[in-house]
Amino acid sequence: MTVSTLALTQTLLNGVFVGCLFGVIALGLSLKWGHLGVADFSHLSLTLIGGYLTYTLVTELLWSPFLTLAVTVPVFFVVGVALQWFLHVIKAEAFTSLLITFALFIVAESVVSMIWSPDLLSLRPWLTDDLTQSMKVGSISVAPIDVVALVVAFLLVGSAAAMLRYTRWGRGVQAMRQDPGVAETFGVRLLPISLVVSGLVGASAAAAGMVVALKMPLSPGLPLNWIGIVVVASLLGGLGRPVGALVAAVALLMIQNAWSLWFPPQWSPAVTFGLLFLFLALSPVVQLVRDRLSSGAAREALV
Amino acid sequence: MKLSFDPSLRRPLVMIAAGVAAALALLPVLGSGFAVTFGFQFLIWIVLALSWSLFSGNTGYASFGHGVFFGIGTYVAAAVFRSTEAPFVVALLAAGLVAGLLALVLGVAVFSSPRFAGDLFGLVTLAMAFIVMTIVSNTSFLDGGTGVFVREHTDGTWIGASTRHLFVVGALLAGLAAITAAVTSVTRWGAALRSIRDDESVAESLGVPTYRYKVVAFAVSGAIAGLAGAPQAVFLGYVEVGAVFALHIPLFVIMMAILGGMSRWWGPVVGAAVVVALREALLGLGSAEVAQIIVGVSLVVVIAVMPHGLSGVAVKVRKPQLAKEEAR
Repeated sequence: MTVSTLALTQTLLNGVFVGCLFGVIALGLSLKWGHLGVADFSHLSLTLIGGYLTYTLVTELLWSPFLTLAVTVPVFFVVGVALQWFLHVIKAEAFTSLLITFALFIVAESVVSMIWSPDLLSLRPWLTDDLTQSMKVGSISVAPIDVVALVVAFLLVGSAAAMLRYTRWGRGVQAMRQDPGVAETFGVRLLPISLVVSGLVGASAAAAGMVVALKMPLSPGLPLNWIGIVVVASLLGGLGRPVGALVAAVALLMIQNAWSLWFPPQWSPAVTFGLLFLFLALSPVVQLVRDRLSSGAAREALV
Repeated sequence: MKLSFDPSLRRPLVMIAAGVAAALALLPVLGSGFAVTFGFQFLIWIVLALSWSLFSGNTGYASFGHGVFFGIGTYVAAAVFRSTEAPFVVALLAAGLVAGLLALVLGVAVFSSPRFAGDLFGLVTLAMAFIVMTIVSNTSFLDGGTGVFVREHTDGTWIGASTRHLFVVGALLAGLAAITAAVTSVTRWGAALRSIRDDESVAESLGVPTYRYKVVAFAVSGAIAGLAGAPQAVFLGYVEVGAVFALHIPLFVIMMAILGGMSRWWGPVVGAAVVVALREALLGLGSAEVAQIIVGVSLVVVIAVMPHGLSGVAVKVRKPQLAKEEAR
């Protein structure tokens, strides 16, 4: 089967835009997993609930979708802090917290379908034309919503990366990850820092949720379809690395979209996990090569 | 491994035999309606909780993939019924064998790297669930996306004739799972598995072949779950990917094992009884969603307040000194 260059470009570009959305969700998972040691499934549920809250505020109170962030961001910050506080109080280990967030994930699905019904809800009819009419750039069409996704992704991932890298606070987070005991001795206050990280991740779910509501019809089971890509993107990007998560998510979605041009699309979830297994199988090899190279360099330096 | 009869096994084995006999004796009393159906489901949950605990409870490697082995068993049995005229026993054994082989292959791959411990092991098993789901729903031999009608093939056979026959199979499987769990709790093999949970590198240095033991225990655990899938296929009558591989199944199994406590081999049985009863009572109250919410929230509460589960609490009440030593 031959595929035109235009179709391929359009498909890959769509992969970039959807990848941006998943990158924002993966950002939250990656930060909590990498820096707090909590593989937080309920982050996906929180994102979905953010989408539903956006839907309700837009359709019931006729707010602009962007104005809803003024409500959802602070609320979700508090939710994030509360969850981390709870895990701290019960002294949850890595697996226990995974189990708890998984349980919350299942609970959230039922709660959402009770409050908002199990049916598909679409925000599209409520949006103004300048959000739904796609623009033509040459012969390629770009939806304004996709531009929103792109901007949100760059803002959040950029600020997370910059905060981790350049602020004292971010260095504290990194120190905590490398050695909590030593970090504490040097004056990093672990509990407040982890609460704030969890809160910020929660707040990012509010922004991601708004993009979800703009982009796709909402249904309670959506997060189930996201788990694969989000988890794989977090792992491939390197846990705790904001830019890595975004790049990995974009790459994954581009590969998945390209795959569906040539092969049956219903197999594309298997592609994602196939890549994960390939990565996990190859990473010891990569580690070995890296060790060899670095030890070689060290030897040369001695000579 | 040398199998010599351990006298401390006598009591558990007698208890299990008595339990299975009591379940079978109860059968005429239960009639053929709701009570038998409920009893069958309860027995299947016991099999799943005990077999999950056999690997995950003993070694501390918590798997989210137990529903997959159960589901594979269901689908293999369905395929046997659909493509052949073979009796139920063949479907049962095929279900256990395929699920066990899948667990074996996965175990051989995953345990070869020490990185896959803790939450990463949980995620790999979860990823396996998605891969298997994709494969099953795209393979026309197994499902192909339309679901499989099992009932039309089992009508007129012994197993399809009555739910009471399913109940008998369920009771025998529960007995098998219980014996495996009890034997594991007293033998050296079980002690070796538990040493992996306590400190894997110390266990390895003391001569426990941790890799081999993990692989074997995982395969046995998967095979027992697969066996339970065969009667489940007949019970469902129509198997379909969404229901068979639903994610709440592994969650419920984990919840039963944790709620019951894993420091005693019979803990998961207690957990299964509580969860099944709770769920049934809640379903009577209102919607399935409310039931799911309450079960999920109670899992969180149980983890928070009773890390050793109900059997741990029972031991604390009966033998406070022993419980104190275990807590150490």
